[in-house]
Amino acid sequence: MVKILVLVKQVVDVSQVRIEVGKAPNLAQVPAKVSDADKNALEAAVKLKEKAPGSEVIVVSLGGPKVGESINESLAIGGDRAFIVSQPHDGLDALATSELLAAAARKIGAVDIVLCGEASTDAYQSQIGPRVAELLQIPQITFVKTIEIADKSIVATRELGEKVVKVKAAMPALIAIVKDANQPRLPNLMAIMGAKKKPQTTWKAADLGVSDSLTAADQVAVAQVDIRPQIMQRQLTVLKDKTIDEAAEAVALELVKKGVLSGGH
Amino acid sequence: MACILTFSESERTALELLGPAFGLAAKLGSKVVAAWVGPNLPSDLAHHGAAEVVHLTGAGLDAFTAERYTDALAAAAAELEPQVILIGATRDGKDLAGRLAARLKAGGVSEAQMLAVSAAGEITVERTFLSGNAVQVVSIRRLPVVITVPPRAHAPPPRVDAACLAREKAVTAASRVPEVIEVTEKSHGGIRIEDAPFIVSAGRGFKKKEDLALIEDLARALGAQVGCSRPLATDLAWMTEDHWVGLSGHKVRPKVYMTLGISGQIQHIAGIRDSEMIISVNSDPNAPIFKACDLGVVADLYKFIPALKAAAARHRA
Repeated sequence: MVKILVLVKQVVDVSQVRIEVGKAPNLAQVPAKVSDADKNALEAAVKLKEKAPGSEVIVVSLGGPKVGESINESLAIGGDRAFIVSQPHDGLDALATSELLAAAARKIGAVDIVLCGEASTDAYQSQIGPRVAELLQIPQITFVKTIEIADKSIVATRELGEKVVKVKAAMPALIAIVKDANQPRLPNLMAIMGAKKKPQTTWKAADLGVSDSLTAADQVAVAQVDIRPQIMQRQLTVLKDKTIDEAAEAVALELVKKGVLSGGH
Repeated sequence: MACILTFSESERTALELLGPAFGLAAKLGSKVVAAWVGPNLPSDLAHHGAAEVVHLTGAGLDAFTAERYTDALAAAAAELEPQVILIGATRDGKDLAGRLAARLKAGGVSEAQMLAVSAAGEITVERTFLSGNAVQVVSIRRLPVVITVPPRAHAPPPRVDAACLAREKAVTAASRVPEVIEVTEKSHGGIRIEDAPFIVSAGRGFKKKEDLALIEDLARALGAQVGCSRPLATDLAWMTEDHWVGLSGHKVRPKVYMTLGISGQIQHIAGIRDSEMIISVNSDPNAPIFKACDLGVVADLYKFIPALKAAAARHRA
């Protein structure tokens, strides 16, 4: 029986953002969704719950006016109850965000595992997991692909590129899950309807005892000042009407010019 | 005693960080202190222009853990009062940066593509945002700040003969850490795709796993490293993840990056953005990759590969 807190971030659906030169994108009008890896974290939590009857999955999300949609989705995937921390302003940085999330976690009370995604789909900073672990003074296990629970310990495998590292930690600990760790389930209609009946509590920064010196808009340590389109300077020469051999010759010539052609035969 | 403090657990990245650190120090009227944690202090660290090397030692620091390296670097920060802490954005570095920033109640920015200081002395940072669709510009309003810098983004500053002072500082590092119980090296013959000067990368244009023999054969003939797009490394698992190029796979910056049958999803482009030259082969003339390459060829890769092999052989002869 484990008590699991899942940190969920609502992000803009990146595939639907259009960014133009000289125009600040209006991200408020872009459809929102649960950040990809956070869905993997939810799925991992629900799987652990299914293996250990009596377990509980608690969803926590800090967000703006639309965050309720993501909370409902998270509860439909299998969260049992949810806490929403309403964001004091939309320019909140990782410092203030993690302080608020950690304060919410403290207020919820002791849990065995705090789960989150390795990074958010929009900002991709990977700061929140390690920050919350530090603020809660618990160990962090990041880049996790699989989790098992044995006795009062977590055994997790970490995907570290050239190696896989299996680690063990006494609970409580924070686990950051990699995207693709699992296939998040698509909730059926009954789960979606049922989600709306699950308990939800909303807190403001003041309810959590987090000081204005962290949460006020003019106190932010790292302020976003611009979003620009990513521009790549490329030649954009596309060969369409050449024969295969002519095109291959043109490519081979470029490889020679760049001095990369070497190797066997 | 203000300074720019740098740290990476990777020796190479530790040297790379010094470049951007000097840039900041010059504008902020500060100096650069390079930290090293645990055993095997690289003697080179004192030979690349830092004002001082601080070697943090103590029990519990033999191998990297975010928890105990945070203990060590927080002790260094308490003494040195750095304005900026630059950390190499390796997996370990990112783990450490968030934890250290939280300990210091500091702001944080991950994977800075560009660092600048305004006339008013405010640090601004540019970084990739929205899965590579955009550049986010942030301004640092409060110091200290912890900023991570991607590995291989900067060349180490030139070596100088005279070494700076390297002093040892004993620290207590006793935070609770997970215990490593097993390490499995992936069997892939030690591929480090980030280091390859020439990469040929496979995408969904390959119809079945067996066909990848074609690109492996081509790579051997050309002297290139084989890479792949996300689906081949994840959903299909046709290649191991050390071949995966993209935003959440490996970010690469080779002299030439050649794609074969890769459509060019934004996350893939974000991982190859810093390549010197991008050559793309795809059968679909409308594939987005043709809006992100230097030289594109609309062709069937199954026909193109043997033709390129033959053309390259002619040039080598």
